[in-house]
Amino acid sequence: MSAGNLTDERIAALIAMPKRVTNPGARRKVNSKHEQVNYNVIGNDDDTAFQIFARQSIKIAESFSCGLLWISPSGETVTLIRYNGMSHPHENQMEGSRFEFLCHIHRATERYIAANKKPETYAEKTDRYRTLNGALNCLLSDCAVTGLDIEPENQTRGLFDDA
Amino acid sequence: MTPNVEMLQNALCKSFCADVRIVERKGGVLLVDTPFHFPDGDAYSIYLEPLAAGGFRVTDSGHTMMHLSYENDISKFKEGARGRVYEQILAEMDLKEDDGEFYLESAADDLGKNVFRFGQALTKLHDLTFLNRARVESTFYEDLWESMTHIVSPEKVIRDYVYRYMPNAEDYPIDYRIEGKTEPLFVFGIPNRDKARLATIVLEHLLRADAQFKSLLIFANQEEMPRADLARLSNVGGEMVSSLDAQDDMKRKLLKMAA
Repeated sequence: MSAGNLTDERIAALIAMPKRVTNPGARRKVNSKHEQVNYNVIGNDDDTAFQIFARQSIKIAESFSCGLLWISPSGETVTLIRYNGMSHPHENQMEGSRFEFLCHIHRATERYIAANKKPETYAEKTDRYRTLNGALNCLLSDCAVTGLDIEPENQTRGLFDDA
Repeated sequence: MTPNVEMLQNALCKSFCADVRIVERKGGVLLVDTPFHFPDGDAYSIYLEPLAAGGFRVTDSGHTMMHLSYENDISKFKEGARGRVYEQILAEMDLKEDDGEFYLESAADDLGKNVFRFGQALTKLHDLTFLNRARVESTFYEDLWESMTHIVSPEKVIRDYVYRYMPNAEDYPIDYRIEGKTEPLFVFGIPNRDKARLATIVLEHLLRADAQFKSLLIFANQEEMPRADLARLSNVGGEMVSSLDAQDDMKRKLLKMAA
């Protein structure tokens, strides 16, 4: 199945599919004024490939993001779900709704794909997290990911804090 | 009815003012909220930093590259053809870059036009994502078709040709078949390493089936091809053209073999 044929049902199934991180020790690196790390993820069918990314701006603390990408058999990637910080406003173009400076969760939807827009344009505001660690823990839980331990956000150390 | 220019001007000014505002964020950081946004609906992050000498630095604080990094290897933006476009955008928009942070400096009086220029520049930089592998590959085949059919009549070219006189022929498609002077000419477009490997397999299969043909391999950029893949392909393939820019070579080789 290619990105253009994704249905809401298939998107939900891909997000809910149990999956595990295969390189939990992936090294973080600093690039373009943000810290980044990518984790390779495999579905429990041992065939479906995903990637988790985490980013934290060095200059703006509230600018962070993490997400789950699906890597289609053709190699095309689609962001299935993405957890953003509160650094910027967001607008849902098709719904005409907008919210400002709130953490929000993007999710790929069939209707945006059908309209030839970025699949994950639709987003909903959330108060489930305030930091990158909190967002990552939401992702691990929502996307049934095992094999990666992230400290809860009420701990003082963040993913990118020095040991 | 003649439009009232003054009324229109006032309406436009009012609308611009409503859509653009400065928001003070944590730590006194000044963010300019504008209608500019990424295709996923997230607004551009445009910040103002006061300069000691007066005026402001209009900056994205590295957010644009961070946003692009979610789905792209941003190191590739500075390489090859993408790198040339990237440098062109910076020069054209008079944009500076400091380790992935884009900025320009502006007098307070010029902030309006410079914020718009900055937004336009970020849009251009974002559009570098259109030069990803899948898109470049598809434009390569379009360009290849156009180049070939300038030299050979389109009626003489069969796309996705299947040579039926061998086992599992459908699994070994040939990009283009052109009627040849003595034997048919099979043309393969080679935009990347994967296609080089596939073309090697197809050509080997044709040779094993004792097919009579000549072949022409046209690369997107032969210099970027890994040596081992190129060597394997050279062993089974015929004439080569290093890139679509080598139009004279393509013309000479095509005309030599095509009927």
